[in-house]
Amino acid sequence: MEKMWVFKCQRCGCDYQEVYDPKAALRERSCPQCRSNSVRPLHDVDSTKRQAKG
Amino acid sequence: MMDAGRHPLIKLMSYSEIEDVNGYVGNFKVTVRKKARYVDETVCNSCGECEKVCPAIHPDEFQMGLATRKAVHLPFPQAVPSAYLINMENCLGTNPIACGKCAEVCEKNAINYDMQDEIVVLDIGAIVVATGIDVYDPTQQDEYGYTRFQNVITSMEFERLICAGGPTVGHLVRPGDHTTPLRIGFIQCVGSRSLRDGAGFCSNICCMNTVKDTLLIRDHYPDAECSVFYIDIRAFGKGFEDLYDKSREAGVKYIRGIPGEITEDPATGNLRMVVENTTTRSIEEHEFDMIVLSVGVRPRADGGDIRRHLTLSQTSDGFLMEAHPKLKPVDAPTRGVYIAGCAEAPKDVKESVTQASAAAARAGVLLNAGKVTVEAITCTIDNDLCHGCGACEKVCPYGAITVDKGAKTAAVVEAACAGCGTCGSACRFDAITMRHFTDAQIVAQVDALLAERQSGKVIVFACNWCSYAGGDTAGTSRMLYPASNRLIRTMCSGRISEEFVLRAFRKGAPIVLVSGCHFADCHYIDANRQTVKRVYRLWKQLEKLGIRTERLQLEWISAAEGPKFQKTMREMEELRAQVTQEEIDHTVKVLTEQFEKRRLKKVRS
Ligand SMILES: [Zn+2]
Repeated sequence: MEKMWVFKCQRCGCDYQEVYDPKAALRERSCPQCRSNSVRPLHDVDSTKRQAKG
Repeated sequence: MMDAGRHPLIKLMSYSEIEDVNGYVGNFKVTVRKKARYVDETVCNSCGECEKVCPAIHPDEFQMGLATRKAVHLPFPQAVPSAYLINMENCLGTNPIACGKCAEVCEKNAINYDMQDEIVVLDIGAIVVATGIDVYDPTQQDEYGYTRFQNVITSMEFERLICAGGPTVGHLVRPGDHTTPLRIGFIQCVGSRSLRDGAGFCSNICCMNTVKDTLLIRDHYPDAECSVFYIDIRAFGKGFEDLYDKSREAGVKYIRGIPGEITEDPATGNLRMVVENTTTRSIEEHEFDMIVLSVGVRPRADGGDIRRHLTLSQTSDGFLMEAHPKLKPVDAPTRGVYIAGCAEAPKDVKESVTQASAAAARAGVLLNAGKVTVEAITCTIDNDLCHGCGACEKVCPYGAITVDKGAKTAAVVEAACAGCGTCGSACRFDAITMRHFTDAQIVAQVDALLAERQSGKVIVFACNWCSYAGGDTAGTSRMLYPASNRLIRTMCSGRISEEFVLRAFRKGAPIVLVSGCHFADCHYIDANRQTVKRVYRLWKQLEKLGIRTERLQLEWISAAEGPKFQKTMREMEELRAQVTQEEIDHTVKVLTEQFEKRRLKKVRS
């Protein structure tokens, strides 16, 4: 299912959020700050919130 | 169409759909669903008596809903075969037969309510995909009031109104009150060149269509005034500029500016708009009897089915992608499949005919040769090593591999294999060899590059078609980039296995870059999606091993992107300079331990 995920740019180091579904067809992504394609999906935003609460 | 219908060697299957396609070049098995027409096309002489008595009346799709048709109808006047069909969704009912009037009057006894869809399997050597386009529906652009205001119509509806075979027999009337409009406005680029409306592309045909329409109006109705609101007029084809000049000379006003909103005078049905004329830099008010929205085109909504059946890829716009934009413009990436017409991109009749002729010729060349020559870069499978796991079959973009799970073997159809190497990277048992891009050959390159001064080098895996060619573009354009970047070429980034990347790190590489084609440009349909999945897995693995994930980089560089190649190489050098010798030593140690562990495990098993 598509969810908001936290991505980390492996080039400039910035974190940003983008819609992502690990099971759906991939699409080309790039860092909003440096335009690099080395962007890594870390976890969905909800799981971050849960972690913060827990 | 009629010539094709009459040709003894052409089998026309209208009112049919492709259900499935199997096989490969020269040996396709195509399953076709021939939909039931409920009228025997071999008997029907299209006398039209059935239509006269049919009581079920529905909007006529061919006339854009501006006229009606019956449940039993001829799809359009020049339809081939010239035979009626019954739309069962519109028919009053056949089970039990509620009406039966058409059958009663048919002297040829062509009506058969019990007719069923027929499944036909065809042996096909080559396939030409010419599935066309959809037209943009401007209802969603509410500011233009299409469907709210009767006298706002689309260019497609205008086409029917001005056509001698149309609902008004070619008399131009506005739908609101059936009077002849004498002030007509055309708005260009409705649904084109606008990302807001979901299409950044130019629809290619609308400008000249409007120019033609204005000339028709001025010719048939000399008192009628036409105004065209545009962003820019794209009259690029042979004779197009002349036609545009003629339209202007005929008194058609061309106003550079797109109105924001249309309002209607409820009393008269006339339409008003305010527009900024960007040539005169003034705000203008206009009133028209009728407004024509020059609507753009869209890739077919049901195009996904044919793409899946034939393992085709699409551009970011959603149109079918050709094997090579310059050298193979009508070949699909799947061998034996060709593309023609608007399925590939929006184009006019002349271009479509040119492309269709080229596609037919390409198919003819293939079939006449009777055999195909494949490049010697396809894969081979060693069934002594194969475990029949199916990983290769899953990732092959061409469906060229079939796995027999029972026998634990796999087989490749070499005529269908394009040599991307994705299967070779997916195989965990070393059962697949990519000719000329074998594991041993690639590993030897990695080892040779990292034989000395490892900390001063960046290992760059580059795909043949895009990123490596991007490097060539940078080189031929004399764009300097740091010499620390050492390139290893593979046909596709899908060939770059996790092992190659880990080996580079194990041999002391400070930075590894995996580069390939942009998603829309992948020369192996979608093989580079596997690259992304692999890089994601590698980042996870590196993180687990305590290795900085930033040391593995990913970049899509096209053949034309010399500057991007240069920029990326410079960035790689910057990243390389940040990696310390201690970090490299730690990585080598960790990965060597992991490698030894795995090796021992393999030996024991
Ligand atoms: Zn970035």
